[in-house]
Amino acid sequence: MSTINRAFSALRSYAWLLGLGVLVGLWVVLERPPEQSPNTTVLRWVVNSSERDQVFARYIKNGDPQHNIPGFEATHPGIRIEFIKANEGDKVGTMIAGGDAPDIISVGAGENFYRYTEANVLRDLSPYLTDKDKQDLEGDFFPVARLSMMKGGKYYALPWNLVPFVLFYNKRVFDRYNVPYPTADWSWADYESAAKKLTVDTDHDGMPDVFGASFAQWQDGYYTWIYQNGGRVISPEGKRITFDDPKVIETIAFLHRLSKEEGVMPNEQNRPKSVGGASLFSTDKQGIVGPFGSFYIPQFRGEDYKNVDWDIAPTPKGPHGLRASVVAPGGFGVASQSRHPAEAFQLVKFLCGRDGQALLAESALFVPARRSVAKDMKLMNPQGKPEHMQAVIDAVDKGYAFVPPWTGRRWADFQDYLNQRLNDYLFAQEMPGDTPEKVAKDIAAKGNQILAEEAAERAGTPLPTGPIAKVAATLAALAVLAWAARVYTESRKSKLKGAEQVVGYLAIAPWLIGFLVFAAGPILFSVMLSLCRWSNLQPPSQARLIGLDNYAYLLSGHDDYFYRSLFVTAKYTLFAVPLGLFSGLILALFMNSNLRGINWYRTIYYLPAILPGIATTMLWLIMFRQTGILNFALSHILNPMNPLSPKSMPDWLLNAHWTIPAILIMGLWGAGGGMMIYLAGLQNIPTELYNAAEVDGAGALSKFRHVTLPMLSPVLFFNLVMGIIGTFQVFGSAFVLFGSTGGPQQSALFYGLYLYRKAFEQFDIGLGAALAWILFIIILAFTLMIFRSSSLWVYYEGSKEGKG
Amino acid sequence: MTRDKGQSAEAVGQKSAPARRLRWRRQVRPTILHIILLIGAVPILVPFYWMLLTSVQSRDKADAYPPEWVPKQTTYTVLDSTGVKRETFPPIKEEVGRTQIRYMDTLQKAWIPTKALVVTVKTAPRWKTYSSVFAKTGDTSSSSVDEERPFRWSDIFAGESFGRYAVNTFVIALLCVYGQIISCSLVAYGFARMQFWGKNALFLMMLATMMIPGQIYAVPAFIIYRTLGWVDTYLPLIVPAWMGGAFFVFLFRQFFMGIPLEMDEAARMDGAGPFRIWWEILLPMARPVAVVAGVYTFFGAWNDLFGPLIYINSDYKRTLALALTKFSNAYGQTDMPSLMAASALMMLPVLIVFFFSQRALQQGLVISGVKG
Repeated sequence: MSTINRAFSALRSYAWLLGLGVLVGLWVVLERPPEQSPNTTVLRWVVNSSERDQVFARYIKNGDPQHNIPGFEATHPGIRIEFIKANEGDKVGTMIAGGDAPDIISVGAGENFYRYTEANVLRDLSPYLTDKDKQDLEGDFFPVARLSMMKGGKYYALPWNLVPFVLFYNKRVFDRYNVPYPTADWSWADYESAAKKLTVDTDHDGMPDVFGASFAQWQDGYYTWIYQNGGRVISPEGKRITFDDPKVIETIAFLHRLSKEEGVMPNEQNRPKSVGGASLFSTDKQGIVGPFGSFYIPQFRGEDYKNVDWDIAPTPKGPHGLRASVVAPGGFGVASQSRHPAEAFQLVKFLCGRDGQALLAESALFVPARRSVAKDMKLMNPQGKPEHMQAVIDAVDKGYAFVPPWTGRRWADFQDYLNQRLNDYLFAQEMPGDTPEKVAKDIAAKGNQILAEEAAERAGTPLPTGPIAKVAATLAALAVLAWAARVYTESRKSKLKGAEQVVGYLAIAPWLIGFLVFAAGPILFSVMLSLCRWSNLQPPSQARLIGLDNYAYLLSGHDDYFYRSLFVTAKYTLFAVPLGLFSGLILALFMNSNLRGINWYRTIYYLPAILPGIATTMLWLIMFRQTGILNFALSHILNPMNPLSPKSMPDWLLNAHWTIPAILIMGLWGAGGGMMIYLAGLQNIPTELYNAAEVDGAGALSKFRHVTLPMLSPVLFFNLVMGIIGTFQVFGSAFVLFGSTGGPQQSALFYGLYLYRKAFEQFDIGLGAALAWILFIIILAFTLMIFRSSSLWVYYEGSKEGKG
Repeated sequence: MTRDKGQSAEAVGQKSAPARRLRWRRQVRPTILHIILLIGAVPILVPFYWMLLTSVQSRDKADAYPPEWVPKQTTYTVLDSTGVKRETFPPIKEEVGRTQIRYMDTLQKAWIPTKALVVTVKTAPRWKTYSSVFAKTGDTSSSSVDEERPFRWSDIFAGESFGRYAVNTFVIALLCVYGQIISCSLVAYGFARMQFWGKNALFLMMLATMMIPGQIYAVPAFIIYRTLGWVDTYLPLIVPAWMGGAFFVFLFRQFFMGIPLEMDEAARMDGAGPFRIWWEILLPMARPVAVVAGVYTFFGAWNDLFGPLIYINSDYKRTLALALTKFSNAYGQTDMPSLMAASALMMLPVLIVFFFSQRALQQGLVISGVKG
């Protein structure tokens, strides 16, 4: 009996150990890859999480029995594909940077290709290519796709897909207004006259309800128009931006006329506020969409557009009879980090082989890069929709397709500026004094400035990682020795006992090790990184020491988004911190009572603060929709008799003016988090103080003013400091709501998001570290300011000062 | 609260005043307070109701405006080629230009023409969303989002499913809880009870680390973990929790300082060594602080997005927070019910933990007495 008891109590006291053991066991099990047999090679492939990409990936893995095309795994026994579902770009980059790259990598021509090849991310495929393969590549692939996957005469990826630009048109709209359909030899004039005829104000309110046209309003769309007019973005040798060329100015003037003067394209002034995301095209209220990427084809074939009668046509000819169309080729390469390069190459070859390309055509994800498949309309267009599918390959087949220019690391900055400037001028708010000429000159000047800056960038000295590591290790060892010696001499002086000192250090060892390895080390490391230019995709030996250039670049305002993100964050902090402080305090005052059921209220009000931020943000994602219940409630509260339609209510997440208020509302909803700390503070205030105040005849207000507030001031102080530190670091909610781009017009580009984008998406590690340090200095300055001012308004019991 | 009594102040007032004041204090004020608090609770709870509602709403009703306040289900009954009535699900395809309607046969995976389609809308929650969440989150091989697959219990622990992600997150979070309680209390014990040279300097340094924004560590820590080969393992998520988080060390230390030294002395007399004193005397007494540290660590690990976002690559190793963001990408606009069901499921454990630890949490917060 007693043995059982003893065993039981022993078990109970060791239950924690048992639990820990079980957890560690589970940990080991969970980290083991599922169903792996020793003679299978597993290839990892990051697939975009969108539905269509997933379907295509499944075809490649398992084949398509309907068309009798075998999958990769059936034809290559011993190799298994493991998918990683993600948003492609950023995840692949982080994996490469982490030394854990997927085996095959999808590569876009231009920026992506250069970034990868520069950092040696991709393996040179030449050794794997047989003569037959090379013949096949040269014979059956569109040259524009093939050449864009080569560098220095070597293949770093095999061409896989194309995204040519075409015109989409809505036949019903054309029919309704008796306009002939676009043809293969349409010109700008035809485009313009059709667009004018198709723009109709059906309800005679002075605003068009049916629009003639719209096109891809980002660089690829703009380049297409410019090249059609014989313009060039960059000089042939790639050294000078030629955006101020008369041909470019002409193009901008033409587009401005279409959008702002003739109003045939929806812009910010005349755009009807669409409800529920239904596009104009799908509701027969727009004639032409284009030039636009052919990736719309599978979308238009889908459910949402099933009632639209549409077709495609090649992009129109410019006034000088020139044709041009952007095409964005892509390919697949083998990661240099891959442990199974031969097998990975087999997969790449399968993707670009006849079967893989046929599967690509069938899943309609993109246009295959293989000519024989792309021209096979039975594969490309089995249902005959769109009728003129041929138009898709016209640009590549007839040779007027071009790959967008790209110069180097900072080309993306140029494109960002170009997009913003042109979008504002053509479709949104013009700046005073803007003319096509001025806009073009501004863009050219900005581009040339960026090119000059890039050329003038200090090459930097290679970072002597070896010596630095040695010196750092020596210094660290010396410091530890000196510290230990000091501890030893103290114990000799017998003020402190030696054994106790050893125990003390042993006790704090977990923190001390963590501090040295994961805090102090990284902090010093981060200082060094901020003085370097280094892409995380490269090995550390490629890092270049460039002094304070990163800081100078950011602070001088050359970076278009640094001050922007700082401003967004400061604006948010300015509203969020006081709002949080007061709402928390008011809630706590209400909650600090012995009302029946007060614990229930406390729980309810505290809930939003503790529930997973991801889940609650997802929840707000639906609340904030224009047709969501937030707008429903607001419109009924503001005007119960005649509520506004959701069209005239804010589109919280898509309208730049409402993004910050949206995050503030979410914050207000979670104000219960601050409440709990105030509540603890309130309950620590001795009751005698209130009694004494009442004896002195104090009313409720003056009790609050002279007792509660001073006694609560340390808590207020704590919440203020924590609030500022917290709001400056906002990341999760903004990331889920807006992604790392920072929402419409970067209106929610928080500092934390920008840092993440620079360091983990663009892999500019040095700049990321510099950003982090600037953030730290800002937070430190605020905290010190508050600390310095605290003696004026914070009352500490037992201190003489303060107003208590 | 006793300050409601304040009778001496009342005695000074007019004769009928005390009665009026008493009435005010006993009845009117609580009622007003109740009304205010109830009204305030509405905007806090409605989003939760909306989430649950959306999760059991049929997909076509989830987008409706004005909103549907009760769950509605649209059932599609088709007459198949053999003349048998059967229930089906969207998508239903109407051929353009023809009058024929086709429905997706989930077994044959093909579009089957039908002679008649009956659409009925009834008020009933669609619980199937929840089982389908378990079935399809990570399932790359399902042919369509819209396909309804019967729920199987094995889905819960299958390779890349919602259930698997939940297990992953639980194991990580609980290991963090263990680590945080053990390491923080041990470090706090050293700071509170032991005398050693450099103690105060180190303690101050520890407090200072609380001020440094996490972003400073993010980049170099990533490089360090990469050098250690820890990318795509749980180590970067678990190990830091075993290194004593500054804030909880501070709480434990405050608590230990309040325990009389005699306790240690008595134990030492009985022959206990310093570590046994910590483990058997002080740690059990520090239960309220341990609850605070444990619960908040659990919440933090359960909710963490940044860590898994950067360090976890393989699908089967993902955590719930990460899986949820993937959910929104994959099904975004089209499948709000599943996303909301997944969100609700992710909230559930936090809610349960909070419910059971609420009293202890409040107690712990008061004990730790935040004083700036």
